[in-house]
Amino acid sequence: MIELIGVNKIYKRGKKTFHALRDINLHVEAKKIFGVIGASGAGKSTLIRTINLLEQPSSGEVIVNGYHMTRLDKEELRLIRRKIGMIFQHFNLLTSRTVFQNIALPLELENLPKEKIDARVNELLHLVGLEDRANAYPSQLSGGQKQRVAIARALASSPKVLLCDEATSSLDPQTTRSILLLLKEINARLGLTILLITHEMDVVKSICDEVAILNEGHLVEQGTVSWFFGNARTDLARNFIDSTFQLNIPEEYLARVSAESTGQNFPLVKLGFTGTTVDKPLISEASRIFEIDINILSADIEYAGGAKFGCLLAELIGECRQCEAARRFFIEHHVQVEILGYITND
Amino acid sequence: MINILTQALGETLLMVFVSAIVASILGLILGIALEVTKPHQILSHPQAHHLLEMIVNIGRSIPFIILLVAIIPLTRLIVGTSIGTVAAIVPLSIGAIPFTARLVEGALMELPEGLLDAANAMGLSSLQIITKVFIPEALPGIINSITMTLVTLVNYSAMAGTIGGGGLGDVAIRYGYQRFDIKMMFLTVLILVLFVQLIQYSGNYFVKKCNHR
Ligand SMILES: Nc1ncnc2c1ncn2[C@@H]1O[C@H](COP(=O)(O)OP(=O)(O)OP(=O)(O)O)[C@@H](O)[C@H]1O
Ligand SMILES: [Mg+2]
Repeated sequence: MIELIGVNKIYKRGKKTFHALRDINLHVEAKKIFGVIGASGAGKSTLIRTINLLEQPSSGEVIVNGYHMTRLDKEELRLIRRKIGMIFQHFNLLTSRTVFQNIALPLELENLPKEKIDARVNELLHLVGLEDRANAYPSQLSGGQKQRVAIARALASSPKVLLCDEATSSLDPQTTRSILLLLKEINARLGLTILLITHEMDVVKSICDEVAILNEGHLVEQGTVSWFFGNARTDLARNFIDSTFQLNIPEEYLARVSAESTGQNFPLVKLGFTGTTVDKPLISEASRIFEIDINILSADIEYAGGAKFGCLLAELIGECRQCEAARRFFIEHHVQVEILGYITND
Repeated sequence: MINILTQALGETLLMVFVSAIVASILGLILGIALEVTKPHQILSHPQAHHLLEMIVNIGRSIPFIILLVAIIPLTRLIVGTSIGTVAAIVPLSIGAIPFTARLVEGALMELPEGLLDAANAMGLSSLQIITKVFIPEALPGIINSITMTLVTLVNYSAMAGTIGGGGLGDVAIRYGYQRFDIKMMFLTVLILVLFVQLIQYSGNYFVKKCNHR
């Protein structure tokens, strides 16, 4: 549905040039939700803006729904853009128009009769759950409500593709979740292809089918979300993945951790479950087989892209030899094991 | 005395409002043209932009009293005479256009950048962006600009008295300054002050009414 082939973008600022996108190749299949993640300044906005040609690529091909975007003339581009919805971090609604009128704007461009516009706007208001705010002005809405209006406006002319430029970045976590759910629902219900960019792994994790990492203008890794969580190799990818798991050693344990094994203390391990980990009750099995106690200190296990992943911190209490055997057992079952230290129990 | 004052007020009203209408329309167009010909704008055109900049700067730098005299031939060409209230409308309009244009440009510059992105992404044409996005979104600023233009025109209209334009300013000078008629001078000034107050008050009212930001 969306295809970028060898796209480069070079900004010129006076005599200085800045290479913002380098040889980007990207394929987003129809009806999928594709996430591009990257740090600030990585070129995410530039990337998403080249798709509807808000930013003209310096070289390369941009193909959306079969149209070679760079080969269209001004008039054709305007018509094709109506079939590519876009939402923004700062919503970009018209303050002079009510919610209803904002959503009606794209329909006015199509010269539809008033009854048709009204019917369509009401339908969209219902879809985003804002029927009761139709006559409010954007300044009277919360951030989440503004983004819902922006979504309704973007969907008004029944686009095939929706581009989301940090659509949840200025929203609180709870509102973010509700907007992401709405996007997911739209994707499923309307068969819309969604390309979103974000700097938060949580966004990718909660709704994306596929993901790519952008770093300093390069696409460094891409694949399905479950593959990504299990197999991503680059440090950058691992950092993003780790950022979604906040596991800390509890304070009272921290004081009792030492780096060396003395025989009297027990290993504190971090177990990492990835997309390739066998889906079996490994903890209780290990406990049974090796006759050790496993004391879970903290855990964050989730499902994304159909696979279990996450990590947990646990203390393995038992004989040294048995703990070591348990460690090997975990590794055999594709659990990543990292020994963080040894805990002395008093 | 009342007769003199009402007639003068009538002349002032005629001069100010007719020239304000002309200056608002042409100033709005010129202000929009200034903004949309900038780099990265919808009708980006560096040469055209420079030309417009130059015209506005020249217009803004000529003192009104000099403009008044300098364009007498043009005034004669347009209204057939260079003397009288109607003739004063020509220099007043021309003097106020660049002023209004700058203010309108300023009002447009204050619009958030993202608005243009959203409009482009929705596939609006340049004309639609101007009529459906820029003007309505900048309307509070545009009304403010027109209010300021009106006040400035009240000011300028006093000078237009020198070419026989009449009006309150003319009365103030002829009776107050030249004949030491303090009462007349005081009354004309009072009327001018009240007039400006009324303009500003109505301006603020309309700005408030259409501002939903
Ligand atoms: N119009 C421009 N002219 C020159 N350089 C630009 C322009 N727009 C962006 N850049 C540069 O290109 C790089 C990528 O910018 P971009 O906005 O795509 O980053 P981003 O990943 O979206 O970052 P953020 O998360 O902060 O929004 C930045 O270093 C930025 O300074
Ligand atoms: Mg950005």
